[in-house]
Amino acid sequence: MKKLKLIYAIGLFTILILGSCKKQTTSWQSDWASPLVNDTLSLANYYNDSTLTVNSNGTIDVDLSRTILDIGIADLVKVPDTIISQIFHPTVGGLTIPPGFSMFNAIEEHDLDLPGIELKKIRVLSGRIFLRVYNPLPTAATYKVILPGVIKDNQVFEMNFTVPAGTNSNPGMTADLLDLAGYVMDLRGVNMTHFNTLQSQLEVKNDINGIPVTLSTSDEFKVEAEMRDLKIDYAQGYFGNQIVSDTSSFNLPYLSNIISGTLNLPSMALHVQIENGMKVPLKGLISTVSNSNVNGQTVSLNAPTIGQNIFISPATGTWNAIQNSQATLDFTSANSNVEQIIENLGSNFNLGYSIQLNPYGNTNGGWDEVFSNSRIKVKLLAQLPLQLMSDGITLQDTFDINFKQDNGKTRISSGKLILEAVNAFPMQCEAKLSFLKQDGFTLYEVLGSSLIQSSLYGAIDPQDNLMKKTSTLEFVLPEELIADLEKIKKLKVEVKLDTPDPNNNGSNFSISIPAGAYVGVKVKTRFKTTIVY
Amino acid sequence: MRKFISLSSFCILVLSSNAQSLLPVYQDTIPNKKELIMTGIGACGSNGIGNEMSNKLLFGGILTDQMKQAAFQKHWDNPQLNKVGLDVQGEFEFRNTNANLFKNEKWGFGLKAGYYINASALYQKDLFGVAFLGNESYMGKIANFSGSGAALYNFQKIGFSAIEKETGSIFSLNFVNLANYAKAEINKGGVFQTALGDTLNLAMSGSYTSSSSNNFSKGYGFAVDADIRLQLQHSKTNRITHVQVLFKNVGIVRLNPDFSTHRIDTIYNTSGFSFQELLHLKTLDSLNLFKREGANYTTLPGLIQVAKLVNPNDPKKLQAYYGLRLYYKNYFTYVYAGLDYKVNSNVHVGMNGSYGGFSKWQTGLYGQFNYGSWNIGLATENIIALFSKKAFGESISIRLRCVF
Repeated sequence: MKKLKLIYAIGLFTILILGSCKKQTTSWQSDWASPLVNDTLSLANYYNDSTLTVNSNGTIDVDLSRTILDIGIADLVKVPDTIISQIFHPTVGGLTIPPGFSMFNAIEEHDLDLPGIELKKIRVLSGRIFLRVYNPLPTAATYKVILPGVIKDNQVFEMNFTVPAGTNSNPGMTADLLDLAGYVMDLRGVNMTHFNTLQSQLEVKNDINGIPVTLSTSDEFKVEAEMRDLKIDYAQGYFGNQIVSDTSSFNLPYLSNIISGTLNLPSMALHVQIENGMKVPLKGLISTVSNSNVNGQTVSLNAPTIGQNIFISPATGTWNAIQNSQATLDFTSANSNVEQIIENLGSNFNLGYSIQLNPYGNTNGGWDEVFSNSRIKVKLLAQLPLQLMSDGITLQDTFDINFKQDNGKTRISSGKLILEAVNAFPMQCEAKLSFLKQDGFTLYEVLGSSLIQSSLYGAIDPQDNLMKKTSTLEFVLPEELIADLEKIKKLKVEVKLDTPDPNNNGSNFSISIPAGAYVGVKVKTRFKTTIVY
Repeated sequence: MRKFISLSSFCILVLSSNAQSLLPVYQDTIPNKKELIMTGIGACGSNGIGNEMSNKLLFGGILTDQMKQAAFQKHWDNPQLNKVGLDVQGEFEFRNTNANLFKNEKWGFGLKAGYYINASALYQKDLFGVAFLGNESYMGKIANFSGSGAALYNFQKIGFSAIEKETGSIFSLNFVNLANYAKAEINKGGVFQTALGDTLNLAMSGSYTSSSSNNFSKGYGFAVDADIRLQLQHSKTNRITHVQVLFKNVGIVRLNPDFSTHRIDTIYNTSGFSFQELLHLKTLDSLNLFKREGANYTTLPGLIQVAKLVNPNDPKKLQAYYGLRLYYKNYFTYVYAGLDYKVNSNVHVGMNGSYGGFSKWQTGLYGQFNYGSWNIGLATENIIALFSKKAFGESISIRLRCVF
């Protein structure tokens, strides 16, 4: 009985202990610090696209010059693939000919399909000719294929073939593929008065070592010459009055990040230049110049020369000393609203143009010339010092982010980002971080604790002679934001830029951006982490 | 109440398990018998982490800054001196010395089964600091982790014993199932961060072995136990001293293929990422810091103990006992000495002092009671822990024995 009581006692003790031994979570907080970002932001990345250039004063110019149209001979003259076929039938049947007898020797003309264009001469840059010759005789025959007027190194194009014996129904055949690069083709025909005309000459003899054969009027002697992929680098003739017109767009993508604010630029001019490198008269017209910004606001250029015809005379000189002719439309503050165009701060520029060749027809007797280096160009030219007064210009960019955190487990509970900036730009910056949901809804906004100050409030660094100012600001991330980290899918960064004058109570003023200016950015984290297990 | 819960919890652990050994060890003088012995030990200890903190680590709760700072200040700068460990064991054993093993009258036999959890760490003070305080307090300083390491073993065994009837020595061969195992070592390593926090340098040479499997069994092996009883006779008084030389869980386990060792041997410096890098950064894996390779074998956390035993049949009321215990790597050499007082033939109580193990100085207390054929022993190697939060570790051992 006593033993039983003891066992009961031990059992009860065990149950009590089991019931009282409930494991809770263990947690503690610890403070973590880490460098996160170390980078330099400068304008260097924009130099290569010719938007920004360093001028002789050591400051930066904005170069908005763009070539809107650039066409050459290949764009004006496209020679289609062409098959020339020359066929000969004996006029007298039953005639027996001895070996080596010349049966046929004739020249034919063939038209190239070049609608609207009348060419007298071309030079082949690249292309091939595929020759096939057919022999109906029961003995071998020799074929001489000549393209009169097709000359390279003073030699007329000529090919000789020995074609094996065949029959009318199954003629002997020989083929060859030849390179036409470098050949000059006279397209004036036999009488030198035509245009777009190729000549071919075929001479046929039966084999000098063969047997006598009897000709039939049904015998068909044939040569086919197929010109493929012909590209030319010189043409002479009349190029028609074809019109090239378009509205071209070009982008300055970084301007699309500007969402508000005003920018005051120095007086500037914008030029549209039409350049003619062809010995062909042109007529040009600029129909529109406009700029659209991220807010959908479009400003069109208003000037008397918009929509007016401009006549450009042919280029002069020879192929290696071509003298372009050109016409330029100048748009200044005095004759247009060009400053509004630039200060619209749009990333998208549109330029509409129309170029017509030979506006008055073939007035030159078909002696126009286009060389390999002849180009017709439409250029937008604008270069101005990056001297600006920024008044709250606000840049904005949004990044996708994805944080995973279980608030019941080990997690970040609060923290801050510490941004240390060495600023060599004469601009001050107010930064704001917005934390967005996937649909773009703003959950939290965190302002920097202070400004990134303008370099003008700093001192000259003797190493690079740039004025620099170091600023430190904090972005304190509240606990509520950290608790909602899982919901945050986008980070929007907004920076508001001003150009304060230290000598005038910080009023914004116009200032040039020095070459080599940059912002050195270091972001460090300080997080309080709750460890849970 | 808290003390009761803590004590109770340990009792549970003990009852469901078996620990290092119950002190003191008695020399059994009852000849040929059958015995059922159930023992359990739960112990945790540290020489830097007090019970106030370790209780929260074990049983839950919030570690306050004050608690962490106090523990941090108690740590030693020498990495060999900062240890923390948890040892939980439960054993069930049947011994039969009535029977003859293989018809040999000198040998009886036994069967045993055991369950063991052993977790321990040897670490630098800075590792504790970074883990519990974070790295912010180390800005401008080096946090040194060199020489730190941690290991976790969880295994079960079943075994067969041969018992020498004359001396009571027992030799066991056990089959071991490894339920869990993990080991981490930092041979050389540390973190340096500039005072401004803009540069972080990590140097690390070490490894981490673990299994990706959730299987109950993660490896098999064998272990031997030997409880060797010696009698030393004093040359002048002819007085006999009983000595135990104990080997326990000395063995090896072959790990399943899903174990792997991740090695790191790198110096990594960063002052932050560029914006481009940051936007395209996936995980730390992309830094390729770790090299993965297979892991094959591990030794078990074996124990060796040499102890002067208490002879319950000695007519003296007061007997001394003492001994020395060697455990695996992360355990100090443990020495103890105490006095056993025989209240009567059925009751023994005693006290002992000890140094080492996972902790520092400790005072132990025990009682042992005979009740018919039952014998119950209850002991702690750290009596202070029952009364004070300032103690470093807790310990309780229980043994229930029935002779029939």
